Amino acid sequence: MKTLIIISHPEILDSATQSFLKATQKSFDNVTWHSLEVDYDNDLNKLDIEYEKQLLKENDRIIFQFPLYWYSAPASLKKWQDEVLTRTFTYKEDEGLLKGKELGIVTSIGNSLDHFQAGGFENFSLSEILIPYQALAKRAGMMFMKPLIIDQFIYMNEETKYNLYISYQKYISTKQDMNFTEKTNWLIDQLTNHYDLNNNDIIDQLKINKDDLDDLKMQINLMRQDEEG
Amino acid sequence: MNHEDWAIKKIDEKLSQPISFKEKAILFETKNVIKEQFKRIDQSEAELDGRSWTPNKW
Repeated sequence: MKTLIIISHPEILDSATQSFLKATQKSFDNVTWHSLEVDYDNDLNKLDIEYEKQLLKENDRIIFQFPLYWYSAPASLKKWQDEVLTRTFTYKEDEGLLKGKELGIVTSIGNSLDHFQAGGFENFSLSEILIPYQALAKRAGMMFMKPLIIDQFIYMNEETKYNLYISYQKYISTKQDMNFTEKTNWLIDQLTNHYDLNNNDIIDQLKINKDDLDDLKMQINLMRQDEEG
Repeated sequence: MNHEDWAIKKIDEKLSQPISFKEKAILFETKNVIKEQFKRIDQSEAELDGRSWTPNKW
């Protein structure tokens, strides 16, 4: 699977969140980091529409990554959408060149996530605020991914940053909504093939537990079937 | 020491060594997954036990 991350952020070079995410995606070969402001030198009038369309065609998962400005993306992403996503290219009933691809959203917010709910300080959920992107995905025949929300990055402690590091890696490189067995397999693969921590005993324990759990699940299923006749 | 305590102790030992951010992150994830595995094993064993002791089968 190939992933394209399109970043819209007017102050990207000063953003701690974006620097963190950039460092996180670095070890992935199949991920393209495409910052609109950096790649077009802060001048979106230079937007190369054919190049952008080619990038979209070459990738399977498209991620819009931005800080939430007034409940939407910064202007550069809107301009990009207006100019690149032409009707014929995008509509699933026409050429529909995005059909079957995934659309993900990674957005950072400056206040707490629990403000974004009915009765909360903002009163609207992020699922509601991000509806225009869901509508775009639907029109283009794309699968809309559950957004990855990064709230108050500057106040995160180390452990929360470790979680974000792993969540972001999964968001850009694995299938969505993995079940627990799949998450365990992903972890075993990472530890075995991408890290040199000399921890075979831990990997063995993960594998033993996984087999034990599979075995228990099978026994429980057999008993359920037996009980249900 | 049971298997869970042993595994967590092993991971904590690694975490106390001078390792990179990336390595710490994967070790924290490993710790979370191992804890969840042992929790699910306990729950599944309890469910199996409960189903085996159904009075209907006595």
